[in-house]
Order: sequence, then structure tokens, then C-alpha cells
Amino acid sequence: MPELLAVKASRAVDTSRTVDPVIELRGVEKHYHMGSVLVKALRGVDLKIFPGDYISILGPSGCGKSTMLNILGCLDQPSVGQYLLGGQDVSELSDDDLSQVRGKKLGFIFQSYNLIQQLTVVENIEVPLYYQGVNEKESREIATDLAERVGLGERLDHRPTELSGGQQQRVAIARALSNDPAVIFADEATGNLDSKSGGDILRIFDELNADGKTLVMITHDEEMAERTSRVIRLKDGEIAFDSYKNS
Amino acid sequence: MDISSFISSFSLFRLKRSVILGVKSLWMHKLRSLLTALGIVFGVCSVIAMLAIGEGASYEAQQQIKDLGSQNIIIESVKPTNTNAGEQERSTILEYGLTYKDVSQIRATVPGIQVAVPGRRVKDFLWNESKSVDGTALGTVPWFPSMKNREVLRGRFFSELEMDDSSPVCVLTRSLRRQLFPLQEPIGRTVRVQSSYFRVVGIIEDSPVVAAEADMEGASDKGAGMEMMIPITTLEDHFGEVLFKRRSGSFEAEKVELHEVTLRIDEADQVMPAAQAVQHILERNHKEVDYKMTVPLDLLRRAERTKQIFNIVLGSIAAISLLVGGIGIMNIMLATVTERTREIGIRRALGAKKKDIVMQFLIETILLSGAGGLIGVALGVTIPIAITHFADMVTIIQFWAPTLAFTISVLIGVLFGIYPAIRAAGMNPVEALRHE
Repeated sequence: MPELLAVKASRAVDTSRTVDPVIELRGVEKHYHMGSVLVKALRGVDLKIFPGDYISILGPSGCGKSTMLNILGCLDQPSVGQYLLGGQDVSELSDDDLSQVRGKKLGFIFQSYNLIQQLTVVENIEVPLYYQGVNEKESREIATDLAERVGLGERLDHRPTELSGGQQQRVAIARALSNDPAVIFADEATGNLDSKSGGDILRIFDELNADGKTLVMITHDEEMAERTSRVIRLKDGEIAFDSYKNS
Repeated sequence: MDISSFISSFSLFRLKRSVILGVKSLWMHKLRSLLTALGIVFGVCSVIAMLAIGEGASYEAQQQIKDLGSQNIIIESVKPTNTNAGEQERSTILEYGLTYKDVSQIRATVPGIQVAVPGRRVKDFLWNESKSVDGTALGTVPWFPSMKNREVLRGRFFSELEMDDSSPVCVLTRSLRRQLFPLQEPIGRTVRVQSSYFRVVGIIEDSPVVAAEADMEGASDKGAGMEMMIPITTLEDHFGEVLFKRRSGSFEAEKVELHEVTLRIDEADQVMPAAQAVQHILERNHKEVDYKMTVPLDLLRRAERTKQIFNIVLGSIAAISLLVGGIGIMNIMLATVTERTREIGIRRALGAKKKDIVMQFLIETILLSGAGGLIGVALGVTIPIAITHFADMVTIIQFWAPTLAFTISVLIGVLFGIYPAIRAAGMNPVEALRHE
């Protein structure tokens, strides 16, 4: 895994504001039509995410958390405003190019794990690599390494249904890491887990951030937010609070 | 989605993995996949089997017609169906049928006739000592076997010399020999008809029509094929011009000069014009239609035309059954797409492009229909072989039939897979991920 090692070396836990942001939102708005009513889910969001950030986004339901994550994750595009990902404006990209960006630069971890049932652990981890056209041998190596890293080296050929929730989520983390993304998004990643497995997952997140990975978590759990170095609170589609902790 | 980039993403490496993935997805729902493919299985299998049976049947029919001689014209005497005269003429001699005059006129006027084989029959009991069979003595000429394409199995046919001398010799058909001389060596023995004795000189094979009937019905009709051939001159000497026919207690007398005449035309393309000319002469000579003309070549052409119609009907049935199979596949694939909406969302989030999703579902449909096609070909090839083995029917599997059926089944996969695949790819990733 030379790329991952390279990342480790270059990104110390340095969040000095002089580096270029990996993600920048400029006046992003998202509008939905619900029948004849126009709903503004996001009303002008400005946000910079820097390499190595460990962010939790908090807020009550309906505040625009999910919409924000969809836009940040290039699953959706802003109605108004600009989204720069690594300096590249992605707000106007075609569907194919957006897929390319997601597959190459972003990692996703979902509340309900979202593993593909007919694939084994190692095959699930390989999915992003498959769409990037990584060859079979190399992709198998990367996936095996990652499975070992999340503690599932013994269960490479198991199916998701044979794993516990915590184990499934660890597979999902390995999958999110497989293409060495610039940013990893976690949407209520511990929401379906008991506190012990949830704790395990959060520890992995901590380690990843310590290795220099940029992580953005969506949560409504204040305790979880405590662990992250930066907390963003959303209210009615706007950022109400955004601060780094003094650590 | 433009075509060229679609093709370029179609590298062998990805194809192989897509196929493996497709097999895995189908394998997850084994029963469902099997049932889905069944439509194609039956479609393909029935097409191949029906084609093979049809081809075999028409081959057999054509072979029988060819055995009659494709350059021959066969004219037979037929008793006129004259009902009102029947009662009054009960005591008189009924005179009808072909005459030597007809034959000599035909030979003189119709060009291209090589030879003519006349035939005259006496229907009566044929006796071997105390054993008897209800059969026919056919008076004919020495070139009968070559004209009728009938092989002399043992001994010989009677010679021209024997015909000139009106020798009392006879040749038995295989069926007759079996009935009359089941355990004895027939050659050299004598067969009695009425008060005349004939020495057996040879055995000839059954007429193709009789042989075919015997094959089909297990020789149920014992009267058929019980024939012996004697020189036509001998027949006249022994039985005279008026033939008596036994009919439920009473006798019926009829005078028929010739029962049948077979004409051979020297060029195949002259057969139809010659047949018309013969028809003309017969129409002029006979007031009543007391003859029947058979032209094997004409029958052959008609059989070929029938076969064409049969093939069109078969093609339509095949098209419909494969269409139904295809619709079944499309139906299931649409359900599958809905069921796997979430998987589609996950894949899209992880970097799959629309065309990747299209490929994935299209490959699954092609795998389904292709596998169905393969099973169908296997069954479709086995069934005709089994039919030939157990039912003793000729079946012919032409090389192109399984190939074509399989190709069409794959094409059906493409055709009916495209819509579900495009629907899958068209889903909004955000909504697909939210799908429960």
C-alpha cells in the first residue's frame, strides 16, 4: 500500500490554516420542490475543510445535515453556489465525472453499513477499486491489507450476513479506505451499533485521523462530537457554529 | 452515455469480473433464476426439437416419393364410381381402365418416354400347398425392378425369355414370402393361384409405400404388400381377359386390360410437360375418369412447398415462445432492479458510472438467457435423439438450428435486458441509497 504509507508520512497532525482547503463551499444553497412549495434545505453555506480535519456535523433533524452530506459527497449538486474539491469546481460536473470524483477522492461510511450482500468481505472492500479499473491482483492485495488493518483478516471470505454489525461497519471502513480518498464521510456510523462496537468504530476513526485522514462525521450524539477536533452545528440550513477545539 | 466510451469500458478484464459478479448475483436466487430462464429453455428446446422432427418427417416423405422414381409417371386404373349403373350391370362384365391402345398412343406421341412398365393384377388366394394368403398376382415386365427402384433380394427376377415364352415363374415380395413360406426355402417351390402353378425364382423387396406403412403400424394390414410378380404374358395366358373377383359370396367380373402403367421420362425437366401430354391423351380416350395419374416429381414439389409453410408456422411459434420467454426475463429483471435499488445506490456512491450499472444488469440478463439457451439446446438436441431411439422416427438436427436458437436467445437477453438496465442506471443515487 505505498500510497497509504505516503499519506501517513506527509500528513502529520498539522492543521495550520496556511494549507489549501481540500473542500471549499461558497454560498451553497440547495432547493427542493415539494409539490408547488420551494423548500430551501441549505441557505448559503460557506465552509472550508482542511486536510487532516476531524469534523463532526451536528444538528437537529431537518436542519439540512443529510443534504449537506449529499452535496459534500458529490451525490447531489448545489442549486446555487460553488463546490471546490481539491481546487476543482465540481458543481457543474457531468454525472459520469461526478462518479469518477466519488470513486477516486471520496469515501463513504453509512449508518446501515450498506455492504453488498452477494459479495464476500474482501470483494466488498474491492468495489471502489473495481470501478477505478485497478487490476485484480493489486486490488486483492490492497483489500486484504485493509481487512487486516480493521481486524477482519480472518474473515476475508465471509458474507456480510455472517458478520456482526460492528464487523460489518469495519468492512465498510476498509471499503471507504480502499481508494485512498481525500475525505471520508461517515453518516451516523455508530447509529445502529451497541456502545461497545460503536466505541471500537470511533477508535478506528481516531486512529485514521491520527494517520492524517480527513474525516467528516454526521451525528446527533454530543459525546461523539467530543472526540472530534472541529464541531459544526447546523440550524435551518445554515452553519450556526463552527469551531476548532483547543487541544 | 455515448457509445464509443461505452465500448471502451468493455475491456476483457472488466468483462470477466462483471460476468463473475453476474453469476454470483444470479446464484443468490437460484430458484428464481432457474424459473426465469425456463421460458427461454422451453422456447429454444421446442424450436430445435420441432425442427428436427419436421425435417425428419419431410425427409422421409421425400424419400418415399423419390423411391417412386422422380422421373416416373404412374397411371393406374380406377373403377369408376358410377352408382346408378351399378344395379343394372350387375350381371354384365364391367369394363374400365387403361388399355394397350392408351399406352401405344402415349408412346407414339409423347416425346422423351424411355420405357413403359405395364402391370395387370389378379386378386385371389395364393397357395403354398395347404397354406394360403389373400394376395395379388401382378403381371409385369422384366425391367420392373430397375424402373421401380426395387431391389431383388434373393434369386432373380424373371427374364425376357421367360416373358416371351409365357413361363409360369414368379417373384415374391418379402412380406408375402414371410407369410407363405415362413420356415421353408421358397426358391424352387411353387405357388398356386386358382388352378395355375408358378415356380418361385426370386424375392424382391416390398414397395416403399408398403414398407413405410409396415414401419408405422407394425404390419397390421396383412393384405398390403402380399404380391407376387409374374410375366404379363403368362398372366394373360392363365387368367384370360376377364377377371373374376370374389365379393362377399358372389362373383363380380371385370375386364381391365392394364391395371397400371409406369412411364419413365428421360429428362427430369421434361416430366411435367410429359405428364400434361399424357393427361391430354387419356382425357381424349376415356369418357369417364377411370384412371388415376401420379407424378412423384409433382408430389415432391408439393411436399417441399408444404415444408416451407410448416417452417413458417414453426418460425412464428418459435418467435412467440421466445418473445414470451424474453418478457418473463424482463419482468423479473425489473423486479430485481427494484429489489436491488440500494445496491445500485451503493455502487453509484462508490464510483460506478451509469454505464457500469447498465453493463452489470445487461450481463445478468444475457447470462440468464444465454444459460437458458444452452440448456434449451442440450434438451432440444437430446429429445429428437430420444424420439429416434424410442419411437423409431427419423429426426434430423441441422447444424444451424441449435446455433441460431442459441444466438437468438442471447439476443433476447440483450433486447429485453436493456430497458431494466437503463432504468437501474437512471436512478438518483441519493434516493437509491435511501431505498429500504
